[in-house]
Amino acid sequence: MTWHPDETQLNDFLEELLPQEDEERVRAHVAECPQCQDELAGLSDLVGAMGELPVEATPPRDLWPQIQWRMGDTAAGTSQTDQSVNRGRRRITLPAWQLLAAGLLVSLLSGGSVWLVLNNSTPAPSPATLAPAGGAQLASLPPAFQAYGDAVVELEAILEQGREVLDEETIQVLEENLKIIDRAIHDAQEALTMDPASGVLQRVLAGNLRRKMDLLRQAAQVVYANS
Amino acid sequence: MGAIPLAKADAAGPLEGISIEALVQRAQEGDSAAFEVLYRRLVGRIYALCLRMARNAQRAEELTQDVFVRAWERLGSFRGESKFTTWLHRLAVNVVLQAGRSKGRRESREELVGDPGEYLGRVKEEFPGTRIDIERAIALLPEGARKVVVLRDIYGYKYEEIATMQGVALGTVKAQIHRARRMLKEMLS
Repeated sequence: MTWHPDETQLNDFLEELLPQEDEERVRAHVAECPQCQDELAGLSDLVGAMGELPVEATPPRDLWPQIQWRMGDTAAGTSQTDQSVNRGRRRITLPAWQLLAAGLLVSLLSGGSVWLVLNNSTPAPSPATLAPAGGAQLASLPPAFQAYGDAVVELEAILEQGREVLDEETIQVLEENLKIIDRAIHDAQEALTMDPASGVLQRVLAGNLRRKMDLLRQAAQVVYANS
Repeated sequence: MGAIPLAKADAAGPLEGISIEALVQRAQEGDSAAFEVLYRRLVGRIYALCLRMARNAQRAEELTQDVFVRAWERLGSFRGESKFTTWLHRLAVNVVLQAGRSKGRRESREELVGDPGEYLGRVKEEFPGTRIDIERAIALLPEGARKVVVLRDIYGYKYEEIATMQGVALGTVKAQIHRARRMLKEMLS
């Protein structure tokens, strides 16, 4: 047997996309060629199996609060002025266990990262705040990480707007945790200036930026939920 | 499309039994509560697409948010010529592909993509009952091949639709999909 359909022809045959003349030719060949029969059966099994994979998945957390924030909080029948007034009247406190867990987690994760980022003795950056001041520090991020930096700045701004609904203890814990992460980010940045190609350092920096973003996002959601 | 369980059923309230068409109409008039119900009914399908396309759970969450924010912004352009679910899904594909192109311009951001092991852990949790061997093989495909084969073989987009959304020639898409299938067969054999 000198002729076999090529990969494209077999795929098109399976999906009934061949012109009639070509389809008849391939069909006649496959009927007599065990090799092409196997090839076609394997392809058919694969395509069939992929077609049966689930097409829905439940996100691990509710994404709606963040979406609603970004939509501009335009709940029907509620003016922006009313919302501002309500925000000013309410103050909320994160549960103690949540504060403790967040603090421990951040300390462990960021502390590990700092340890990884060489044993440098650079001075710690200025204390983190909920205000966009942290964004100034992120302005010097390598271009590859700038998107994360932008997201952090945006979240910091959101959080600052909602600061008045958080109580002092919550703000203090958030600021302490952000300070730890900022220090780790700073150290990673410093180390990267000495070794820009280091994949380990890039991952450390990415991990700490992600942690900062997660913490800010969680705090922003708490603010939103209580605004 | 089956509805996913409402995480906050109380938020849906009296809107829960309303058809998607009616919810879309109310959302187009600025009713964000109606849009929330749409989100809760449709987020499962959008998140699943984003998760498979991005291969990273955190990125999938960000992309899912982007899709719904974009949908809210563009609701006015939905004229009912297709089903809303189709319109939204296509919008999601465009958001994901656009994000991928941006990422391509910042190539070293690839560092931020999670490893397949971490991704597969999420797949096990979030796609209960799926075939992990196939999911693993898909996750190991090169990015371009992975995206087109997911769109074609899991979500049933036509070659022509994928070519239009990708902005590439039909032949290119077919070649990518055939190559992806060949690689998948090799990995699974």
